[in-house]
Formats: sequence, structure tokens, C-alpha cells
Amino acid sequence: MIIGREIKAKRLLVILLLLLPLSLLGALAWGSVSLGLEESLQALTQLLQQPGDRASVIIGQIRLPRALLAAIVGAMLGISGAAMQGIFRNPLADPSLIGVTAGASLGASIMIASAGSWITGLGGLGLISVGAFVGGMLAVIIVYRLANSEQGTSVATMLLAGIAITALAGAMNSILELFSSNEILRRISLWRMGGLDGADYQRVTAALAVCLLVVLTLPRYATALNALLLGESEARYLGVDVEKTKTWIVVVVAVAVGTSVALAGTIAFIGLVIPHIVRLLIGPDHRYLLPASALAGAILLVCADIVARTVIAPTELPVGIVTACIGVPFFISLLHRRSDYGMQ
Amino acid sequence: MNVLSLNSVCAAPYGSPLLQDISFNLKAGQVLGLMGPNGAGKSSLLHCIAGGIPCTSGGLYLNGTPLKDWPLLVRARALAMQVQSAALNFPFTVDEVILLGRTPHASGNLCDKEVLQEVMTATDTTELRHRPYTQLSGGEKQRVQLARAVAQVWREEDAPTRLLLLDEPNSALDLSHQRMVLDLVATLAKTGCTIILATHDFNLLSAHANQLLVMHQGTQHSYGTPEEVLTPTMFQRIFNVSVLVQRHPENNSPLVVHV
Repeated sequence: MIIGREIKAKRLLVILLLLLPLSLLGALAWGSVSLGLEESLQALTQLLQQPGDRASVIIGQIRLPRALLAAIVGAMLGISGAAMQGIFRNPLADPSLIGVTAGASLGASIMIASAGSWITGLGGLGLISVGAFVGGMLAVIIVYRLANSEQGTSVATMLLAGIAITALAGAMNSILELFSSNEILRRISLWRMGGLDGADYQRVTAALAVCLLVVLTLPRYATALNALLLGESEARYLGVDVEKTKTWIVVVVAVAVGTSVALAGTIAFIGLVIPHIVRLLIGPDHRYLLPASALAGAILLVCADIVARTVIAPTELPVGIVTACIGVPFFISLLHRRSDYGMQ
Repeated sequence: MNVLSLNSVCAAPYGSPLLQDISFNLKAGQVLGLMGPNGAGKSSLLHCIAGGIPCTSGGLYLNGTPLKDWPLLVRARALAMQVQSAALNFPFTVDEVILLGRTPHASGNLCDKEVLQEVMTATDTTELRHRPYTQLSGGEKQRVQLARAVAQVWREEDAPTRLLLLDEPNSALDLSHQRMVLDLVATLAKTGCTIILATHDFNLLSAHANQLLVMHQGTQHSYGTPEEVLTPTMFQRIFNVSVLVQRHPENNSPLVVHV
């Protein structure tokens, strides 16, 4: 007897919901100073009453905001990867591979360069996010226009367009650096270096607000995305407002990627690896794929960040290196077996 | 009351006219056969009727209301279409694909499962139900897509009028499954569903269609009953082949024989 996919999907969602707090707890306990699970739990409860001792300072000021930011960014990347692959009707459409992240990063740099000394605090973060959002949005629109046709999305065109946009963004970044004053140059490189280690509660709050918006909006288009996988005209004949769906998803994904680039820099491959694994486990039904990808993305980035902080402690690796180490072999194996996914 | 009524419909989605001056009427339960050489505009006409290609002039009425005035979702409950090439790259299982046909309906999980069972039996896809769509053969995929379109307009309660558009549903099917498509079309028509069927199988159309429409370079070459339309002159002019038109020994319908 084959267990129905719906039951499997619900089971996976429950498992992921249990794993997420566990991974967060792990992120609190492990680091260059190892605290142990028990001490972390104690410190966490103390934190609510009166902060003071070493463990609660480490956890309250450093590890907790960082773990939360990792979870939020991971969730946004996971769910936007899944939604993006839905509208591209192609399991290889990852924001970082098709140039959306590069576009967002360029947008952010331009914003820092042009806004100059205004880039401080939450307002500055907002400005950088707007720049990243506009850059990411332009990139999605260009790639979509180039690669999408009635027959589906051409993998080759999509990846080539991503290469072109990434190269263009790199070149424009260099030009920007060439003509920037020392002060602005310092700000740009500071921002670019700042991965998750710049986490504070201000950032976490901002990220949480955007994340809630993304996680609550995208699943409303789950059935529309399912129909869209059949093709655009088929979806239209099934009563889906295709243009509205595509516009909303592109905007929400650009917001999600823009925010995560502004907050945590370029973190590649989460949007590729996570939806793919979830699809292997429970199938491509977006009603379950979207929430499961958000949860699994959060768990993966929290765990990747634990590795990044501990593997050569006390020095830290940028978390993007860890996700790339997981993602690249995965991506290559996907390319190798692309005929299994009916891709040209 | 006509379920579908076309009045001098023209369409030109890519600049040059694809469809010119198409007119016909269909009542509930009627079957219209659509024939013509490759590129004659059969698929374009079906997409135009389904609302995917806008008509530039003329009137296109579904159940007396102009097609473009139908809200998208309400229209999807009354009108389903099986397109010729469906590119689905994601490993949905067969039953998931067929259930997508129930997307526009709010008929509930139980009812949808019932429709799924009935449609799978009618299209011989029950054996395939747990297989991933991406691993099916061409003919199996075609049956699944047929099942999906049929599931959309399966129940009489689904919509006051139902119209099913089939674009070469039997092009990749073996003999027994071609027969199955025939039976399915007849069953659906008996329940009051109107069907337009584009195919190159003239004898199938001759035996099962109430009306035939022959298309040639985007225009309507001839329109009428199979007796009126299937003539050696028409085959000579449109397809440039000589045929004999005999009588079917059992049901006396026109039978096209190659010479």
C-alpha cells in the first residue's frame, strides 16, 4: 500500500516544526565557546529575568539574534526558491543562479553609494533593502522575458541570462568602487562583508516583519502555482489569473531576496537545494512544498551557520561558503540528471 | 439555446490574421468535428473559443453571453480544454495531475475523489495513478491530460452548460485507446456536454460528430453534417488526395477510403 502524499506531506511539516526549535537550541549551545544544551537553556530562561553572567551575555547579545536572523533569512530563501521554480516551471530556477541575487546586491551597492552618509541604523537598512529589491526585481523580469515561452522555460537561456546579469552586476560594482570616495568604499565593503554576524535585534525585527509578509502571501498562490506547472494557457483555462499570479510572485520574491541580501549578503543555493529535497520527499504540490521549504530553509541555514562558526573556531567562515559547499555538488548532480526532470 | 455561437469570428494574435470569418452554432450535447491540414488553424480556433486568443472582430458567445464577459473562474467551470502539447516538468503523480482539473470547482475533497475514480476508469488511467507523470510514455501522458480536461467538466452539476475542447486527443493512442476516446466522447455528449474535437481521423468524426467544420488557411471551407462535408471533391481541394467515400456497412455513415 502506497502511503498518500498528503499524509507524508503533513508528517514532514510536523517533523520540520519540531526540528526548527531544536536547531535553534543547537545554535545557542555550540560556538567558539561551547556552552552545552543545559547551560544554554538555563541562560535562555535567565535572559528573560535578568541578564548578567557570561552565558546569558553570549547567548542574548550574540547567538540568539544571529540564530534567529539565520532562520528568518533561510526561510525566505527556501520559500522564494520554491515559488520562483513554480513560475519558471523549472526546478533549476534558483535566485542566486539566475542573477536575482547579483542584481539585488548591485542595487544595494548603488543605494549605498548614492545615499552616502544617510546609511545608518534602521532607516539605512531600509534604503539598502529598497535598492536590493529594485535590483532583484529588474533581474527577474529580464531573465523571465528572455527564457520563458509557451513551451516552458529554456534551462540554457535561463542560466545564460543569469551569467550575463551576474557579470554585468560585477562590472558595474567595480565601476562603482572605482569612482567611490574612500568613505563610501569602506561602507560598501563593510556591508558586503557583513553576513549573519552583524545580527542584532533591530535587524531581526525588520527581517521578521518582511518574512511574515512573504510566508503569509506566497502560500495563497499555491493552487495557482500547481495549475501553472501545466503551462500558462492550461492554467488560464483552469480559471487562474496568470498575469496577476506572476506579478505578485515576482514582487514578493524580489522583496524576500532583496531583504535577505540587504541583511545577510549573498547566500547561494538554499533556494535550489531545499525545494528540491522537499519535492523528492513529498512531491511538487505547492500547498505543502511552500511551507515545508520555508521551514527546511530555516533549519538548513541555522545548521550551516553553526558549521561556519565552529569549523575553524575562533575564526568564522562566511555562511555563504558553507551553503556553496553543500549546494554546488548538488547542483552538478541535478544538471547531470536533468533529463529525469524533462528539461531540455 | 446555443451553448456556443460563433459569428464571423476573426483573430490575429501575432499580427497577420490566423482566423477569418468563422461562424457556427452548437447546442447542448452536440459534437463538432474540426478537420483540416496541418497549420489550417484548428488549434488556434480551439484556443480562441477557450479564451486564450482574443478575437479581433465578430461575436463569440458561450451560453448567450459574450465569452470575454465571463469571469475567469466561472468560465473554467463550464469550459475545459485539452491542449496538444503539455509540458509538465515536475513529478506530479497521475492522480494529482487529474485532480488539477478540479481546481476551479469548490466541490469538496470527497466529491473530487469520486470524480477522479470515475474519470480514471473512463480513460484507463487507474493503473497509472501513483506513477510520476514525467516518467510516462507519450500515449499515457495524452490519456492523463485527457482525463484532466474531462475531470473539469465531468459532473452535470458542475455548471449549467459544459463545453469540452479536445485538440487531437488520440494522436498518440493505440487502437483500443482510440476507441476509448470515442466511447468517452459519446458518454459525455449523452450527459449534455458539448464537445469540439479536432482530429485527422475522418472516419471517427463521420461516425460520431453531428457537425463537421473543415478549415483551410484560417478560413472556414465547409460546414455541415458528415454527409454534406465528406466528399471526394473536398479531399481533393483541401488535402490534395483522391479518396473514395463509401458507406459504413453497419451504421451507414460516410466511410473515407484511400485509393
